[in-house]
Amino acid sequence: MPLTIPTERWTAHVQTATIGATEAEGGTRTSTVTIGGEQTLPFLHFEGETPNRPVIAIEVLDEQPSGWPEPLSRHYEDVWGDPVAWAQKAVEEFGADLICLRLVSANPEGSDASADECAETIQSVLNAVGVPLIIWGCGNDDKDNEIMPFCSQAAAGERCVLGSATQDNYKTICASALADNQMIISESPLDINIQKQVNILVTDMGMDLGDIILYQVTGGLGYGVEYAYSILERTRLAALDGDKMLQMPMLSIVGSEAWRVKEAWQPEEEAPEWGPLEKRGIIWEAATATLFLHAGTDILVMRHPEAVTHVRNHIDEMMSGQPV
Amino acid sequence: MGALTVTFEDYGIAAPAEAGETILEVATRAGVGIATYCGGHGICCQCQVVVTAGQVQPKHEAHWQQWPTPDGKGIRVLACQSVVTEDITVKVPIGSRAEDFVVHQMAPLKANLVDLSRFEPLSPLAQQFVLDLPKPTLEDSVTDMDRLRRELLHRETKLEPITIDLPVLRELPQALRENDFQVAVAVSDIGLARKISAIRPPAAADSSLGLAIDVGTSTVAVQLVDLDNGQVIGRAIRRNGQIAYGEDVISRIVWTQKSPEQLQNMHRAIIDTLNQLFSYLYNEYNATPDEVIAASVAGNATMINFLLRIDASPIRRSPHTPPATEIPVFTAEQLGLNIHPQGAVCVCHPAVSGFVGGDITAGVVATGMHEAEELALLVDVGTNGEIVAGNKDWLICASCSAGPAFEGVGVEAAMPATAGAVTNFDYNRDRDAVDYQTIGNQPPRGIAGSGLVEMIASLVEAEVIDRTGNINADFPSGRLQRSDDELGFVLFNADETAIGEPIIIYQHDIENLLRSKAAVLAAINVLLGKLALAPADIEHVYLAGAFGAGLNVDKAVAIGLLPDIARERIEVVGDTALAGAYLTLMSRQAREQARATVKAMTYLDLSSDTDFMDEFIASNFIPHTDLTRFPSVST
Repeated sequence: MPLTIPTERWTAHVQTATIGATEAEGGTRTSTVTIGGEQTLPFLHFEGETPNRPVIAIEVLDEQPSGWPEPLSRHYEDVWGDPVAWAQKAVEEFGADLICLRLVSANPEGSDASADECAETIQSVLNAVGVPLIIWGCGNDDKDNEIMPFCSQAAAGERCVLGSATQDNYKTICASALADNQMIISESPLDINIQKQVNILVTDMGMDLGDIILYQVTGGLGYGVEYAYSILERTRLAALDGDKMLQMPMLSIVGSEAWRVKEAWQPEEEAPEWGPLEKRGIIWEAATATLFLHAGTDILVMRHPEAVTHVRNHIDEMMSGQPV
Repeated sequence: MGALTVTFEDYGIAAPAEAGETILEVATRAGVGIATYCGGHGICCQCQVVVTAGQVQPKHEAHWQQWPTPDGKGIRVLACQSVVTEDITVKVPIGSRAEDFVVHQMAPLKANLVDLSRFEPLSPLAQQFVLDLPKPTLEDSVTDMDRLRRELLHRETKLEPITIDLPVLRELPQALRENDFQVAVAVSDIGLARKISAIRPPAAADSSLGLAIDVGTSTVAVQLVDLDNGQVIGRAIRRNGQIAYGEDVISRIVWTQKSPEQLQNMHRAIIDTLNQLFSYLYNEYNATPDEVIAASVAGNATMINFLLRIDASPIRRSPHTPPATEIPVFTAEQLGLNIHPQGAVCVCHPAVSGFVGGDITAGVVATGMHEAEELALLVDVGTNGEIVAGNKDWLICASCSAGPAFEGVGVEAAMPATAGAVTNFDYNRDRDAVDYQTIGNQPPRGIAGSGLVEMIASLVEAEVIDRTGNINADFPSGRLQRSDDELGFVLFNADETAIGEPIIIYQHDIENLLRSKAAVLAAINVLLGKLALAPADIEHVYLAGAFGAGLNVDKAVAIGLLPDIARERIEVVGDTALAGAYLTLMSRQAREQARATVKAMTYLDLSSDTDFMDEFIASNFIPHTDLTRFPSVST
């Protein structure tokens, strides 16, 4: 007797979003990234269309980081004093679909870079690479509110994604996004209700539903990913069920979280049962990324080029619709 | 005692103090009323005083707080955290005075809640019979007790069995002979029997009074009633004196565990509160304690246990089982209550659980929802926040621990519903002005429960706050203030109020109120969810507790305190616990219904419910994260 595979028919689908604007669209990007549009849960091609493949953004910091484990830092030591060179390497050598530029130098407890300096960095990076840009603040609300309007203005016309709007601080970033036609990251502390609440607050301010990317704050593998997975999955299910406030594409920060965990940097002498340090961080990052991919993430923000390769191959396989 | 002196300037009192005592301790002993809700732990910040001469020492270095005064003279500190080590002079600002600890008149209860015609004929908790007894003879030589019984049963066979306590038995022979066997006999209904509680001259039967009592966690309310006809003679309310030991049941239970004397103090606090209320009513209405022969009490399990001086600590720990919920009828003298010493005190409304108490079952009986066809919801927004859903066929209840924000605790601008409390509030953005009403039409002293609901609705509509309750830092009005890193909004300027200071709502106050309302809405939603019911299925909502009859129910729905239910189905009912206590005072049938209702109620424990937390976060938004659930609220 032939086996009929039961299929779900969803009444709604995920919103589609295009990041980046080409010359014809008023920007200077040589490529754009279109995500979302899923009609069903991840990769169930027999059930519905997945018109756009998930993409990988590589993280670029605007100043040299410290404390990165050697297996990771060796790939960036030659460029990490210069965000332009870093971005170029990420695109040309490692194949990033987008660049996620973090303006860590603006942190008042660090270099306290000015709004003008940040704007200049953004302009340089935009001139150096043709892929779309995610622009993320330093994490200090007051400082981010100061620099974001300038950063957004520096990238006017390029359809960037500005990060991030939170429940307690969303007004400035929305105002900037509305003024310069940018998109925003809507951030939630791994709570599906708060995610929705932030979306309601920003749409009340005038943001269009189509200009929002969802971001739940998650840890790396081993640090509560089961719960994170369930929140992302619930979000995707709500979207497919028709909840307009949760229908946007999702983003997950993988690189920084995976490389923070001790499994990624503890020397072999101290943890011989964990195997070679060479591989650990890469596996950790690739596994975390894959996990979130299958929960429904559309943009993965990653670091290590090998992890990126593994994940990209995996996306190829999953998108081919063919058994592996 | 008293090597040092604390001079309370405004009161003209030079209070003796020992080195090491806090200002609050000295003040309490000297009769200077300083407000405190957290029991002196430095949390509620209500007990602010100004030290104008001398120095104080911090009780805890790490948590010391002090503020400058506007005129630069003296420092503002918390009385409970300031230790006296030398002579000092203290001013108690108006806003810190415990004036709520004064007895106030109370508005009448809604007529439909206290309609005795539901229970005709009347059978009050105690009644008096004037008896003309045949004197003992050789032929009729039954005992005094049997003589009484015989005559009483002639009058009313249903009084069987009849019993008597030792103190009254001791008085029996003299009482009969002194009055020539013509006596007024007071008989209490103690459930399993009737008990003779007094034998007095016939004139005593001219006046049979009773008390209906609601021992609320924050507010205690009492009604003086004529037992012969059910007429309410007077009503009074007062803050529960136990507030000095903690604002909620858990913090009070913790207090009683500090040492054995603390349970005695907790018990004394409620007895004193009640006796003060009784004295007020006796003075106002020319009554004496001996006329009051019965009292019916409603309250939650913790309040009742403290009233009886029973250790309530098992309530605090899982599985939260109270020592007792069905309480035997006892006498006033056993507790120290100032009514007739043998007067029957009946906790007529048993609790359902540690967290859904007799006050709620009283509310069920008062609203009559236990006898009705229609599906109703009783929402009691007090410190504990209980919900009951059901009808004559089934009843289910839950407690959501809402917190006393709407009762005026933990919100600086809030106050109980007494003279000067704002009950209706509307902020007009265009005029940057407030339209309002207060109790007694006096200048505002603070905001009452219904005023707080209307205030939130008004502020979110004017976009002073957003849907998460955040005050808009860019709001174009001089009312916006920033102090200590926190935003506030001036509701009334200093020259508009009765307290000489502005009335301001702060960011943390709004967060407290939203959390309270979120707990209530979440409890309702979870309860309905478990019953597979939608808000539209509810035919009648009884909103009880912290709100007066003037509350605009539209605003209650607009902020998401209640689900989006047709407004004409929502009835603001006030103190349903007191109404229930009144009904059980006057009717045996009501007393039986009260016990039956408790047995019929199923208790849903939200503390272990996985849906509640999720729903609570979703409800912590105005009106709710899922806006589709509030179609009639304009966005």
